[in-house]
Parts: sequence; C-alpha cells; structure tokens
Amino acid sequence: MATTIKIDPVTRIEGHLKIEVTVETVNNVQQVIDAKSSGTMFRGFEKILLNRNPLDAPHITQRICGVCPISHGMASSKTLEEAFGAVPPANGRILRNLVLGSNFIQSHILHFYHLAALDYINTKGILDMAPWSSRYITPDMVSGELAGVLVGHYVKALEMRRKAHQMGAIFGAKLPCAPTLVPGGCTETVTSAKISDFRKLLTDAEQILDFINTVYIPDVEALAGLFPQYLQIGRGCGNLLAYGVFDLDSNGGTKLLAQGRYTDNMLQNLDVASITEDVAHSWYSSPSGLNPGKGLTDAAYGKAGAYSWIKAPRYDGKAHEVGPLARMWINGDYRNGISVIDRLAARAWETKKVADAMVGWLNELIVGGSTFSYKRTPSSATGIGLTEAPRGALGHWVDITNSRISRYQVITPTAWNCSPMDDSGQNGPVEQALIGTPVADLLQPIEVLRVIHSFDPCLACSVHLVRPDNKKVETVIEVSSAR
Amino acid sequence: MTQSRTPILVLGIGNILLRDEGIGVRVIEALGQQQLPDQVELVDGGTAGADLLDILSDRQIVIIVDAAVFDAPPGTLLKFSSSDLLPPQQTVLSLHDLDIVQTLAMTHLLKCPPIKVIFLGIVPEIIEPGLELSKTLQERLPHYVQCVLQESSPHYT
Repeated sequence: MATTIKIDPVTRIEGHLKIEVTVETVNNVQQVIDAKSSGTMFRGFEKILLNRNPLDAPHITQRICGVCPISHGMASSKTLEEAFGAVPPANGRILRNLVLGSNFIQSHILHFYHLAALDYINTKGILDMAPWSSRYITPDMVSGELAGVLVGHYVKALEMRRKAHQMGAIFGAKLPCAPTLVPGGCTETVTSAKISDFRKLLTDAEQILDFINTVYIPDVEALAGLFPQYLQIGRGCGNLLAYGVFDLDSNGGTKLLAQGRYTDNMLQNLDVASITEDVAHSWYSSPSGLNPGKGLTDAAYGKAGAYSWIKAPRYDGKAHEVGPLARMWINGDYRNGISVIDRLAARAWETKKVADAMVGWLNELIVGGSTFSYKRTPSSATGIGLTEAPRGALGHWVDITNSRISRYQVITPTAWNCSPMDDSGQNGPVEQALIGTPVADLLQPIEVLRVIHSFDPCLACSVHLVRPDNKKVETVIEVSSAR
Repeated sequence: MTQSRTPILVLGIGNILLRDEGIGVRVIEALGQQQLPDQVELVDGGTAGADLLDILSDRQIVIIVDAAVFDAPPGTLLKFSSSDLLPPQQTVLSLHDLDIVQTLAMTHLLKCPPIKVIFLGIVPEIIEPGLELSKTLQERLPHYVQCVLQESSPHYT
C-alpha cells in the first residue's frame, strides 16, 4: 500500500518549499513512486517592479531572496546594462566577480556543513543543543570519533562563513544586500588596503583557501567514500543547464564557468529563445509556454490540477537541472556522474576553482582605477541578464517603456530544479530525482532529505517573521500610549 | 572587523517586498534620520539568515526589530527575549529555513554571542506583495522608533 510523506517546514507562516512523496514497495524495495514539489507562496515580486524607475530593480530584486541577494543584484544590473548599453570597466567587472565569488564560497561551505553533512552524521552526544539536536537519527549515519571531527569542522565552517562575509563586504559594502552593485559596474573604490585585507582573508594560513583545500574537500571525499550508494541515487532528469558566470572580459564572452547545456547526453549551445515556462500545474491563469521575455504572472490560486506557485521552466520543452554540477560539467571540470554525491563533490570543487580564480583577480585590480560607467536610462529598451546564483542559473528579463519598467520577469534556479510538472506531464528535476529513491524507514525518510538537500534549494521568497510563545511573553508595549 | 565592533547593534529584519513583513527594515530606515551616538550601529538585515552571523557576533547589546506572529492586535509592539521564542523547526529543506534564532545559536557555537539580545516584535496587519506599510503600522512608526531609543539609551556609556 502506498504511503504519502509530507515534508513541510511549518515554522514560517507561509512561503516555503513543500515536498510530498508517495512511497510503495516495488520489486521488494520500499521506494518513492511519486513526488510533488510545491512552492507554497505567490511570488508577486515581479508586479511590484511595474512602472518603477529601472534603476530601482537591483535594489528591489536583492530583496526577493534572503540567501542570494548578491546574485539577484548582479542579474538585475546585467539586465539593465544590456538595456542601457552600458559596459562596466575592467575594475568594476572584477570587483563584482570578487563580491559574487565571496558569496559563492560562503554559500557552498554553509550548504555542505549545515544542510548536507548533518544528514549523514549522528550528532547525538556531540551537538545536543537546538537546532542541531532534533534531526533524524538513522543506523547508516556516521557516529563516534569521526562524527566528532566532522562536527568540529562544522563549527570551523561557521567561522569561515564569517570570514567570507567580511571579505565580500570589503567591496560589497553593506552586506547582506550590496548597495554597490549597480548597472555599469560597482560603486566601491579600489585601494591597496582593501586588496590587502581581502587577500589576507582568502589566502593566509588557516584562512578560507586553506579551509577549502584541507578541510572542506577532504570531508566531502570522506563522505563520498562512506556513502557510495548515493552515487546511484537521485540522478533526476540527467539534463544540465548553465548560463555561465564570472565574466573574464568586458563583453562577458569568456567566463570562468561557461554557458551551455547538456541535453540528452550531448553538450550543446544555449539559446535563451528556447526557454519557456509552463503553468499547467502552477497557480497561474496567464498563458502557458511563454518565453520569459514575453512572460506574464497572473495568479489563480486553486486552479484545477495545479499544486505550486513555481512555474515550470523548460529548455526545448525538457526539464534541466541547474547548479554547481551543471556548471562544472558543462565547463569540463567535473564529469564523474549525476547523483546526490556528485552534486556535493562538484560543489566543493567549484568552491576551490572560484577561490583560486579570486586570488588572480585581486592581482588584476588597478588601484584608483575607474569601477563604474554611467549611461542614461533609455526611454524604451529590453534587456536580459543571465548569471548564476550559488545554487544555479538565474535570469532576469526587463522591458522598459517611457523610461519605466513595463515588464520584469525572473527565473530563479529553484524554479528550474523544484519546478512542478509541465504541460506534457513531465516532472521537474527534483521530483524526477526523488522517484525511485529507496526509503528504509517511513518515520525517518532521511534518503528523501539527502536527495532534496543535494540540490541546495532556495525558494525565492522569504518571510522571516519571528514567533514568540504566546504563553511566555509578558511585556506588551501598548500601542495606544503613543497615539 | 571584530576588533572594532560597535557595542550596540540595532538590527531590523524582514522582507520589504511584503509590506508589513518589512517593518523591521522600515524602523531602521527611520532610525537613520535620528542622531545616534557612535556606539550604536544600525543594520538593515533584510531577509538574511546566516548572513547575519558575522553581524551579530561579539556585540554587547543586540536589539532585533522584526515582525512577529502573536495573538495581539496589528501594530502592537512586544518586547521579549530569545528564550520566549518557540523552538526552531526540526526539518529544514533549504538554507532559507535558517532564521535569526538559528543564527543566534550559531554565535553560541562560535563562542562569540552577543551578551544581551532584546527582541522588539511588531504584529503585522497586511502581508502581501507591495512596498508600503499598512496605515496602522505606518502611523505608529514614530512610536516604534521611540521604543528602540528607549531600549538602547540606558546602555550608552
């Protein structure tokens, strides 16, 4: 008999990723036979941008997401650069690479230690404080001395995350949202003191690069060695897609991580005109199959057959996975396979690749050189800004009419990965990766979490309310006194 | 960096794209118009989770202003401490699920927690896409600013 398991973080009032899997025994193996990935909140952010000054877009879109504001700021700036005809000077391009690179490093390290590794470690007796104490504990988890070492590395990883944040703030200014990312470059200046501070955090002994090389990568490899079965689990659609990121020249023709796709086992070029978004199973009444350049976002909650606020982006009608594995595969850096472990490994090797490149970029900066080139807002134009967030391909599309935004569309990496079924009934990449995953214990479906976490999902909508306990709070400052 | 940490942090968090959800950030913006001593730092934390780890670390006093789900009329401002919060959720699916409570716990793991944390929670009226606060919260914004100043001023040295 089939059993349905819902994994639905409920702490926040709304706005999160919900995964529902149906488990049944097939050929004597209890496994996932169906999966539904839902985004539970309307992303109406695109509508907020309508009729606004285009220059507001980088600031507003950085607010879409609490995890990748830098990538949204970058995508938005690139979109407007195309519309305005602005080209950032070399210094501006490099500064942006350094800010985004810092963000990649901190995001990847946090992903492995906070989101992924804890699925494989029994922390009981080692890390008993909330929020780490209450996760699943399954017999296959690493325990004992090795678990203690990994938890020690977890704490070390948090320290590195602090450092990566400090590093990004040197040129991004007020992180988490970076006001210095603007169309035309970066408004921060280049001084030798800033370069030197940045370099220290990145390259000094026991700093970030050292941690990546001597702790992060060896830990990922150790885990891969202990869980070889996860090289066979969670393959998914097998198609990969990357917009590419970290421009190495002024027109973005060369990138550290190239643009492309791997469709039906073949490396191919990418043409954004072939991207469409289906909505047959999403709560929208706007037409299905539109290219984001013509995209519309009309909500229709409760629509029959729909189960998600996420649209279903497809390339040539096919589901594609995005993220570090897609980027590293397309770039030729990692082609071991497509699985849970391969995603973790490609992410770690990408962290090293980006950090190594950052050392070189620091050398290319010119002290006092121009970082920004200004162009006037055109009265009418269109623009597409393609980049990568740590968790995958991110695209923004803009139409400008009478110097105001007349259309704005965003396709986030999680829309690609966690999309629902498309019009033809084809599941999204995460759904496909879950189907066939063995589940040993219905009460502790850790295998399902391991598959989901390997994608590093990030739903582009944050609601960060705190929830005080109604029974405990005693101080209510009466509002009437102030009126 | 850590050596030159401003001792008092006022941190506003929330999503300004969801109207009242962004009240914490709006309070920070309003505080920015006030004369504040050098020992107070204002930070617009947006919807960040773990990105706040470094910002929270090694402080004397942290005042967190945020929207709060609570059984009280919209616009009510509550004062509470970390121990009054419901425990963090047990299953996280994404780094999005990492909230201020977990990030504070991380500062304890790193042995650099703020010495005192005060939460000022404001009960929202309208949460929907949009940049403007509801009329209720907008009218009370000056009051919230006064409340933050009342909480922070006893700690000035």
